[in-house]
Amino acid sequence: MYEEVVNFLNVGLVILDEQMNVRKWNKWMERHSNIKSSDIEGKNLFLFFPMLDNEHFNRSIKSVFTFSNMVFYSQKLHRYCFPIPPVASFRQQFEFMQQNCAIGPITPEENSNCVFISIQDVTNIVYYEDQLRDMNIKDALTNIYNRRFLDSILDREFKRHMRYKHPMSVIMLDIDHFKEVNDQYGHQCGDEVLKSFSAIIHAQLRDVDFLARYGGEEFCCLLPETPPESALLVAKRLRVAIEESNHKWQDIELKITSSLGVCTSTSKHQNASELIELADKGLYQAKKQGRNAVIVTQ
Amino acid sequence: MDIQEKDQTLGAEDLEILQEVMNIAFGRAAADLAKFINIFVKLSVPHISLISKSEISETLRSELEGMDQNVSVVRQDFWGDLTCSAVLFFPAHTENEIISIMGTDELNVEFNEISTSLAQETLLELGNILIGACAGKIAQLLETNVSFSPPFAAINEPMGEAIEQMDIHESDQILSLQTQFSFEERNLSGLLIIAGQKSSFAWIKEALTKFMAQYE
Repeated sequence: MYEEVVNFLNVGLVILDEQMNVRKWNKWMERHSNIKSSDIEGKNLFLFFPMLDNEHFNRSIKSVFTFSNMVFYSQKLHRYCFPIPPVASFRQQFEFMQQNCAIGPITPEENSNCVFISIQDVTNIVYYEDQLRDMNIKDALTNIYNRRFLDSILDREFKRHMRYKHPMSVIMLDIDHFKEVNDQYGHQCGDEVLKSFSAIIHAQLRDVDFLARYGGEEFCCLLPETPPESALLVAKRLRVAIEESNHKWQDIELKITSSLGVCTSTSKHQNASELIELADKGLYQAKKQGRNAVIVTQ
Repeated sequence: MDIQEKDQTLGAEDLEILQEVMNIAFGRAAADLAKFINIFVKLSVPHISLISKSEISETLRSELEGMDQNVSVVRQDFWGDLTCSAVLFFPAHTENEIISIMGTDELNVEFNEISTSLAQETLLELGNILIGACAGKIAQLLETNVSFSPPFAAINEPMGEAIEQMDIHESDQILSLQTQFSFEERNLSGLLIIAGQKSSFAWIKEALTKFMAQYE
């Protein structure tokens, strides 16, 4: 009598017995998994989805059989439960449909204990969340982090530094004579240079480092767990990488250089903005000394 | 038979039987958690009392001594014959220990730098299992079924707020089932409070009578 409802639902519904045999595979599951209910019903779920035979999934199912509770399989933690493709419009962005799943008990009847799994497609929500988050933390032009995000990370990393007494370093860097690029070739060319400049810097950094556009043509690298000597090496490497690179816009090819200021935290610093200020001083000294240079401040 | 018209308070004798039921229920919950899902948790002898919402915070402050004013909580309601609001309290800043117990640090999920999702979701999973196990065993012993709401978790929130959010009327007396729990070989312990709603008292009385009947 509930057959129609189960098949009409815009939610995946799977019923499993204690041997992990599939008792029910609704139309939604057929449509999204490309597995017919007549093919999978009566068979072991793991024959079709061997990757589900893992500790977490088994534990969740056992928990429901043992305690008759509900177990939630959240997208945030697991991304998905069933590795099935997303709807066509999200195949570019996601390999698998993002899911919120719940596993719950079914009151036993005729000696057979069963649990149900409901599968909700949340791919579109995750997609928009990702977009929103990116827009919030990234600079639209260069696609590296924006100033706002940098401020929050600086604060967090500085607190970590205070707690564990591990060093952290910041490098402030600025493109030399950037105004002339804009004046001579126009702002579109300037934009291209900003993009390729940030890409070159980004390629030189570790995964744990943060690169942000501080404002205009000024950038900031935050290097967690980095003592002064290493920070200086990184800064020198960045300077050389920029000096050696070519920047192209339409048929124009140009070379740029950059000035850098480096500062590493010590016990005398009270907060992250002090570090930025000091690194910034180094940057201006580098400018004064003729640019294309690295200056360390303390 | 109209349950509503029956005596809706729980007497000393009821609480005594309930204590017995809880001893068995929590013992079984701990045993099954270890046996079936490899979570080794010790549950203290539960403390049963009739209290008001404001007394919950007093109890918590005395029980959770040494903890910060902030706590991490998982809250989950369940309903049926037995309608309760369950809250699991952990001291603040225990996220890493919780993550390590659940093994979610090995899931290799890329978590965004600005979100505390991993800790929050892991807390949800652990809370859901612990509350589900305890509530499930109580329901089993009293021969009923309960339905669970999705759990809610908050990391490092003020204790007062955590209690405020429990689904209890200010003036109502509630049945508080309280147990301290700790994880074997782990530096983590916390407190579970299951608050039974007054509307369930009549049913509880009946269920306890039935429970005792099997020993008479």
